[in-house]
Amino acid sequence: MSRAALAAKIAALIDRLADGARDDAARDALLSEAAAWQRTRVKPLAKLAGRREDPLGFPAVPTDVFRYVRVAAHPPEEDARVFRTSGTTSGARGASCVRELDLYDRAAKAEATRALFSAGPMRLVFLAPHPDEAPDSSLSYMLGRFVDWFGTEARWVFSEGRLDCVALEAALETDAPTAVLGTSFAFVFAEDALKRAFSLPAGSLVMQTGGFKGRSREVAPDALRAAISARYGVPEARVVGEYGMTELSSQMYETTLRAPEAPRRYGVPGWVRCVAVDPETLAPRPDGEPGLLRIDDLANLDTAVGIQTSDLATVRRDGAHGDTLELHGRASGATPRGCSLAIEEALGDR
Amino acid sequence: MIGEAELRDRVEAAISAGAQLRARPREEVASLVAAAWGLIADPERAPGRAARERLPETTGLSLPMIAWALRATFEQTDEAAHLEAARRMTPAEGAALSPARLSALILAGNVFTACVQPCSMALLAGSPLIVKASSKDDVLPQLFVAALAEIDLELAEACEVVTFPGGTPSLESALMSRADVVSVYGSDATLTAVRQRLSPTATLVPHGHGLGVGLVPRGALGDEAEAAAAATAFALDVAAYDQRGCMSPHVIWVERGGAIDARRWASMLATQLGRLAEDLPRGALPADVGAAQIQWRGVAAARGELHEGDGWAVSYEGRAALRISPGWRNVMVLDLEDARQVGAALGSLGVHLKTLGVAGDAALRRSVAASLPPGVAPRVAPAGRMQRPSLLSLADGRPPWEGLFRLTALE
Repeated sequence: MSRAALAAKIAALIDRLADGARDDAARDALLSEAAAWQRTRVKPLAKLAGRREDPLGFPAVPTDVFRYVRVAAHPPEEDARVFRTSGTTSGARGASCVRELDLYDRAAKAEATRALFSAGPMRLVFLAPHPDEAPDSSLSYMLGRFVDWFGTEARWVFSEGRLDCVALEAALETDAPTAVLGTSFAFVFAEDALKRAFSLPAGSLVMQTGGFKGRSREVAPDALRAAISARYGVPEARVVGEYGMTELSSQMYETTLRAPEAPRRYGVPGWVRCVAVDPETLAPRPDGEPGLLRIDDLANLDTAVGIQTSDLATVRRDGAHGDTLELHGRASGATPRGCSLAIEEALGDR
Repeated sequence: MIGEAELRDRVEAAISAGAQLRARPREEVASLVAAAWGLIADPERAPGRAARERLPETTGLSLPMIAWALRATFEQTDEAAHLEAARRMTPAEGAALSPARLSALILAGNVFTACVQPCSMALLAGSPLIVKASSKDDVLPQLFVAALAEIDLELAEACEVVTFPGGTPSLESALMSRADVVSVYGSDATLTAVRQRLSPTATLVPHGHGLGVGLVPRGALGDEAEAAAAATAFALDVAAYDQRGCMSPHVIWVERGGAIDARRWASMLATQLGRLAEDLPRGALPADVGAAQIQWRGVAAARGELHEGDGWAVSYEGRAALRISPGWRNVMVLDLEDARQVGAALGSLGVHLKTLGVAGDAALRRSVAASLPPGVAPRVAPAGRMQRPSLLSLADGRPPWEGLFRLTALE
């Protein structure tokens, strides 16, 4: 099957499930089909597949692999976009090479519509770099697309690692419902810089994403959410967390806007399969038991649909709200403890 | 958790016991300390039984691994070894030894036998000791004090063991407030925190982040049997303490030009690790290490060759640069064009390189040691003995009694 034919099938499924409908059998069948297609084209995937039988039928590529080898079903000259992770102090950055952005756009638009913008377009304020400044940031790319899809007006107030406090304050003086979107560390910068609280109009919302990555002081999620709510004058239920990563094409959002009474968890789009797996056997953990998060994302057609993260999570097959995800943070054991070390950065790792 | 007042009392108690410790002939102390360890080494004695009963839970290591580690450690810490240490500490004629009034020892939790050398050395030096053990595992130092008390109560009073969670500034300050020397096993972050809290006149003996690496020179790859012997020896180094120690090898370089190449040698190492998985099974894998292991093995499989079994993995990744392993018996095998290049490969590790295991005979070890760059001072150990330093082994390139005494010269 050609890429175009497979992409069309995936696009059709995304469109069919965009309103929150579920068809897990169709999703799983298409995941297997896409994985088989990728196995013959993505060299590291073929090697991983030959390693041992995977409990889910095809292997998930650990995110670190994207730092060391190219994971793509097409040659570099056909890259439409290369998104890169924020990297480590050694400078090694994971690369996600995309040949066509249609599936990425389709998935991002569908889920953001459902999770954030069901009321329609509004003013957008971004605490993140503009895509022209960060062309290899998947987050900036997505936010840039949000302007086209959901924006009545857009203000970018974070540039070259600095928050433009004056611009942010000006952007928050408004009578129009506004969505403030950005990274967690940028919101912390704003907390440290802003001298007063604001009161955004009803219908406004905040979307925050990502960790701190050593760029700001660390703030516990509950505390940051409460601070954001107080600072911008939006109810906590309208402060929505986003979970995404460079190696994925789809995103997940907390469901608090559409289900404010439900526990605060991330909703899993119908074209994505989340599984908590045992760290040693890679077998799925029973429903509701924590494990290492594996994400199978149909929109990842150009790289690998199966992605193995280092995040600890609980996945629930929740009938009322679809599958949901509770994140427990990044597993911390990347290196041995005690007098052993974390000095990979000192070595250079390519 | 111990309170600050009680901790200060324990510190004072140890200091008070210093006078009686210093009054004892060093050779007598050596015999008594060795005898105390001997009680723990003996599985038929109560301290030995207690060690084997309690350590699997507190360390996460399997019982066979615990038994191996106790045997491997205590076969080198007998009375003769302690007497030799006492002899080497004796100052030259015309000089006198002035012990630290109190030494403090802060232990990590990754290798449970790490307390043996510093405890013995402090008491041999005539310095009373307060040990801050890992809050998860204080079994061996506690058993040592109990065994010492069984043998000589007065001597046992010179060694106090406490536990409290790390990052408790008031307790850490109380622990170190009277110490002339503080020896710290832990992360570089721990060392930095201790250094900031130390009085200007106290000596810090740091044992920070570290790792081991291995080398198989072509001289140790003359034929199949030699290569197999090297694989057997290094497999033990990887398996020991489930590769959680700062001497554990993360990578083994195999020099080109031998009868067996690195790719094939990696499979030989895998075979031996498979065997050891039966004799010395690995402990349970913590979830966070499991996450790191998935990533590490994934990269290995994607860009090289991965051999994996029940509780172990060997990667062969050609001439790639070293990637730090998550431990728990995951090791990398790499090609090395010429063993004389190993110094350059190790230079970036600096003080973090604790042990360099070398297959083959002593001449090969001497040759490799001679090629090490400045700033790199590992133990250069035979393959199979990376995790088995002797009582007299240098620790981080320093004498094992570093900081425990000063010398008074009679001019």
